[in-house]
Amino acid sequence: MGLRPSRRLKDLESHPILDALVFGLRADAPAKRSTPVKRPMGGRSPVNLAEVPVYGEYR
Amino acid sequence: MPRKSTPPSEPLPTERQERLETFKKYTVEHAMLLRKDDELTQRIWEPGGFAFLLLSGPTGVGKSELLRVITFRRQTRVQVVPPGDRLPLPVILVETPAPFTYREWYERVLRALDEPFIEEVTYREIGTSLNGKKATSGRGRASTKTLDEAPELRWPVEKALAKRRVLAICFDEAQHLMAARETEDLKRCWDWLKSLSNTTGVLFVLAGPYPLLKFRRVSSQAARRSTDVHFPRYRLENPEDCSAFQGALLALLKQACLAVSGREAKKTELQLLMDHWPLF
Repeated sequence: MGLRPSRRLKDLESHPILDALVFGLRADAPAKRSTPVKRPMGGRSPVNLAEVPVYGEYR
Repeated sequence: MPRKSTPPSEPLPTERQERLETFKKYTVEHAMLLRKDDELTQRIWEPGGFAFLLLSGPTGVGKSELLRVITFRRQTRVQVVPPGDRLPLPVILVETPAPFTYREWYERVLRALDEPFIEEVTYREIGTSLNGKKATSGRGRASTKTLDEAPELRWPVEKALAKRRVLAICFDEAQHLMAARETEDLKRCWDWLKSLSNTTGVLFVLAGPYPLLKFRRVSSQAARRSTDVHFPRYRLENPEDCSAFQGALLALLKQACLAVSGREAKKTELQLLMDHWPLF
C-alpha cells in the first residue's frame, strides 16, 4: 500500500462533522445516511428543528 | 466549488481568523444560563441578609461568563453621578489569586475599582515589590516585616468600595481561597472575609466548583450567613433540559458554520448534526 510517509494514519480518518461544516453535504451523503446507524443513547428519533428553542447571544 | 483547506502548519488567513475569534467569543443565551443570571442578579440587588453567596457548579458550565456579563451589565447601566463623584461600580469581578495571598487579592480589588493610588500604596509598603513578594529595601537588606494579611491595604480597599458604592464583589475561582489549606487557615480566611463583609456591607459572591461548598462547613456562622446558587449541567433524563440543550447546540452550530464557511448554515447541514445531539 502506497501510504506516503509524510501522512499520518490519523490524517486519513474521516471527519464527517468537520467535513460537513467545511464543504457542505456531498453528493454521496444521502447514500451514507441510508445505512442503518444505531443512534446514540438508545435510538432517539430525529430532532424536529422547528421545535427546538431559538436562543440569541448572551450579553 | 469546495474551499481549499489551510494546511495545519500554516496560520489561518486573516479573514478566517477573525471569524474564528468571533465564534470563540460567542456565548449562547440558553435557558439555564438565563435562569442563573436572574437568580444571581436578584440576590445581588437584595441579598436578604446574607453576606456570602456561593455560586457552585461543574467546571466549564459558564460560571465565569455569567459573572463577567452580570458585572459588565451592572457597570455599564446608565447612572446619575453627582459632580465630583466617581462613577459607581455596583458589581466588581476579581479572579482569586492562586496561590491565594491577601495582598494580591487587595491589589486586584483596587485595580478592579480603578483606584489611582494603587501603585503608590504598593510602593510605599516597605520591602514589597509589585507582585507582593519580599524585596530588598533601599539599603539592600531584606525586610523582616510580616506581609501575610497586608493590613495597610485593607483601609484603602474599604474606602474605595464605599466610594464606588459597590454592592457585590464576585470572586471567580474562589476555590483558591481554600486550596491545600488546613482547617485553621480556612477559619482564619473565613474570619477575614466575615470581618470585611461586616465593615463594608458588600455581598461576596464566591464562584467555583463543588469543593467550594466545604466553605460552609468552616463554622455554623459561615453556613448561616451564606446562601447558594447552583449552576448544574443539563441532564439527559430531563426532557426540558434536553430541549434547552438542543437549542443551545443549534445556536452554536449556526455560529460555527458562519465561522468556518462565512455563510448561513443550511437546514440539511444542521439536521445532520442535530440528529446526533447527544454526542455533543
